[in-house]
Amino acid sequence: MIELIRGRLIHVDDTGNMIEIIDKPLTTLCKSMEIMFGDVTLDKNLIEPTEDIYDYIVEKIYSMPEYAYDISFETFKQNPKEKILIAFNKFFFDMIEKHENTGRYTD
Amino acid sequence: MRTLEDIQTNYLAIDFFLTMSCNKDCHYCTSYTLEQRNLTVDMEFLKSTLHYLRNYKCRINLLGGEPGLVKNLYEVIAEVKSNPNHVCEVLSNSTVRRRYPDVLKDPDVVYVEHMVLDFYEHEITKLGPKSYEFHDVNDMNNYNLVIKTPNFERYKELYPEDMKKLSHKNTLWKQFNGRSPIFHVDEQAAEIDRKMCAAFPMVPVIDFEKQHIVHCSKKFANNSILSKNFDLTQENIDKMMTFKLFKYESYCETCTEYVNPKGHFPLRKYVSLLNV
Repeated sequence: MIELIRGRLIHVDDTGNMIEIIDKPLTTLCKSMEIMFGDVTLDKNLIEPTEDIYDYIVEKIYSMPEYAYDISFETFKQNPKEKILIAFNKFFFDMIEKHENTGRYTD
Repeated sequence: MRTLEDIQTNYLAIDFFLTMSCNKDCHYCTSYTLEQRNLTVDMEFLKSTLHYLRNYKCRINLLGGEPGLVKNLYEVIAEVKSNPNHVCEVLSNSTVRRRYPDVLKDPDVVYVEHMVLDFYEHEITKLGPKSYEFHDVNDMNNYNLVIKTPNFERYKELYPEDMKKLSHKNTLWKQFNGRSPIFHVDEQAAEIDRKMCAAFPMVPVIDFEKQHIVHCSKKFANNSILSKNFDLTQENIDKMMTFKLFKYESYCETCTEYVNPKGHFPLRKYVSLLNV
């Protein structure tokens, strides 16, 4: 399980050990999402197909964090909010998986 | 009256290519023909298109070619304005100012005049009569549009008076797009920006000659690979307005059109429209 705790990405394993994931851009993305939504939910089970535009928006916020400040939480209607969260989770776990495969987080 | 900022932020733009005919031949333009054809807009087609778009907030850009050549332009504008969800914008090379002067007096119609052909060493070449002055600061939603061509960058210092006349809120500066074979492209947007552009391009087109939806206005004519097009149906319009119709195409990958990395894609505009 991965959680955002005090602005840091923490991997908590089954026995309760906590390991910080050092990935500045990914942590910044999580913080941006927190700003947009008030809270972030990191859950692989949320992932389901969404339209490409939501993936692009998340990818854009990843590459340009200030883009998230264009918008306040109040402007979101429920549906796009959910879809952006789904796209965010998809992006987030893709990145984690990619880095796990390269051994970046486990070395 | 809606402000330009409000319109640019909250409305998605859709180009209506009313006719391909134009009375000018700007060296950086590809979507025109000097052949005078289709100069009367099919009102039935216009009405059905606007009907499909009735529930969406959109900025209808009347373009061409040159919309000033259209014989029933007042009628077209009145029809577009009849829906409160739609904002009417007209882009002209000043022919509209000459033939349809009332458009400039209507603050509900955004009138954008693309009058400067280019900057040269000896003069700023205008598309309209030399006596036509640039639009001054006004609240009538009349704007100058100037393209920052390589010549603009090279010679702008030579025209301090004209630059002063153009430096105000009613002038829109457009990044040079590199469509001309003469100039090379200096800048290219990041791939992700082009992906976003592909999802809802800047901007999709309703082609009034062939009566269908065109994905990208930049791959419209005179390109080796042309844009994808779609039938004009309620289903396709609904898909288009909810970002489900257009995909990142092979021609997007090689697109040399400069995409403004931020300004064209304010997130506010997207989220307010994603859940129509």
